[in-house]
Amino acid sequence: MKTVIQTKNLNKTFGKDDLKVQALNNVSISINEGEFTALVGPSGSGKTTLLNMIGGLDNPDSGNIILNNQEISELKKSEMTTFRQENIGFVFQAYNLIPVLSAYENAEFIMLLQGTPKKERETRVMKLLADVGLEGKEHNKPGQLSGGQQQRVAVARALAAKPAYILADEPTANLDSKSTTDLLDLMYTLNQEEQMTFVFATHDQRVIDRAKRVIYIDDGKIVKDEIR
Amino acid sequence: MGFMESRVNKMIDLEVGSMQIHSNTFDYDNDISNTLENQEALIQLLNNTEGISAFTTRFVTEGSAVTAHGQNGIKVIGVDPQSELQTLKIGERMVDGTFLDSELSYPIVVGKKLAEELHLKLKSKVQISFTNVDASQISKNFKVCGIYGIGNDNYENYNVFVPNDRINRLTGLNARHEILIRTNGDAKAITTSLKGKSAGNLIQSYADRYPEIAYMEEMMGTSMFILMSIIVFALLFGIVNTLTMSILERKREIGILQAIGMKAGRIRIMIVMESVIYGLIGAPGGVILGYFTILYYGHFGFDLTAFGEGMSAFGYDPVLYLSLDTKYYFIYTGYILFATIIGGLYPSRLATKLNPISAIRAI
Repeated sequence: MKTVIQTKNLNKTFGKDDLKVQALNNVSISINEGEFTALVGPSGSGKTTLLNMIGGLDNPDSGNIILNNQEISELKKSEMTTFRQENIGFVFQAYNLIPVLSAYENAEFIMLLQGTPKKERETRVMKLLADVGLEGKEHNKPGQLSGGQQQRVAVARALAAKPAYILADEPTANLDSKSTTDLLDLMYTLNQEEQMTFVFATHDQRVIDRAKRVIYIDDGKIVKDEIR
Repeated sequence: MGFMESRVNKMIDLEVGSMQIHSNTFDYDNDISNTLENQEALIQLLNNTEGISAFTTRFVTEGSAVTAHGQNGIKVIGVDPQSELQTLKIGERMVDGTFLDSELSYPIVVGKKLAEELHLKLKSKVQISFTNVDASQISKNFKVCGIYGIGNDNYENYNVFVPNDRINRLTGLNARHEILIRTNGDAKAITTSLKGKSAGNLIQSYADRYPEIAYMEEMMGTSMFILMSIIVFALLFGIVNTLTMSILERKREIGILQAIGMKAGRIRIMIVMESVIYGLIGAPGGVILGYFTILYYGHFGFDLTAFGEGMSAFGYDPVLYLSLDTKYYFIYTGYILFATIIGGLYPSRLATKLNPISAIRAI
């Protein structure tokens, strides 16, 4: 199976002198295509830092990150931006939709950046919104949608670019129980049916229970890697 | 703009005309005998020249005006009232009486300032003295038939108008010292075309004869440029401040755009475009508002009578009639759009320098 995410001996330290915190300490992981992985650990354990690194949003102090066969430390800033656009889908805890754009426009936006033709955009966005259960809500602005619905738009946006994998940082933290179950069902279905790779940073037990692989992190170190 | 332009126009309309002709030596020796050369041929030349709408021939000498209340050095200008009024707009500036339209045997029109100095009213007597060709002193009592007020204390205090025929009668001279010309074309071009066509006489445009007017015209452009630069500079700060605040408020959205793959160049263009849109909305609004403001004050005038005393001392009209050449509307719109582009650069750079991780976390 193809490896889409690989890190080797990642180290990252924040702060200086007495306030120095080692967020990652020699972290090496390898995630294959089609995995449904949860990065688990208490607050401050380093899971979000690791997620940012494999999302190309942050750089390690030392170590290597190879994403979809590309060593990202070799990439310039603009190349990294293009790489993110083409390979990585993000789902954030606070949804982070553009408030002035409708659900349709939010999902379409990344395809605009990629220069996808209008017809193709329209077909794909309508299908994605239907897949995430938002048929009829295409023209609603984020403020007119519930938290669960907004997170579904975020998933549709993440999928729109046809990424190699999706990174989700505490995607269920702001959702109620039903919305969490619905969202996990959606992601699980995408993983099962389309072999989409998901990596979650979470401490939500409901997500951990659904994950096929759970990587436990504490004090910046991987303490357990459990494949179910 | 109206401030300087109205001063220049006022000088041309009321005081100096668009062009002037004197004998070649008049400026060095303004003796009463130093009259125009070949006057008849000169008049014929002017009558046949295109672009000249009117001209007036004048007798000019210096003398003094005396009343029981005092005396003043003056310039006595002998005029043919009809052609004088066609050439200059002084008839529109009579504050009392008429411009030599009088049955009085020796009428005189004096300036408001001189009238105040010598306590002159309509029909007041004033003794005018000047030196004749033979160096004899001519003194004659004139009666005030009109008082003009053009908002220029120096001019009003110094220049008096009398009919040419009365001057001829007193001096025995039937010659003129200067011709004032009103043009309906480019005075400078007409002057150039006439140069050398009247031997013994010096033909000058207002700008040649009164360099201070040309300087004022030049100053108009320069001062407008400086003023606009200051305004544009202030505008730049406004735009930079507004956009910077707007970016800081939208940190999160910009962070998301960066995270999902919007390149720095596109973000930069987006912010600059936003700035340009501000300009595209603001500039026409400002131009329309400015146009109507200038239209209103150009018609009704901007009354600075409260400062009129000081202004007229420097030759400025206390009622300011605003005007702005059409080209400036386009120039200023261009300035504003340029400023919006420049103003958008720093905020756009700021936006691209945001760290997407901390920007996304920003509330």
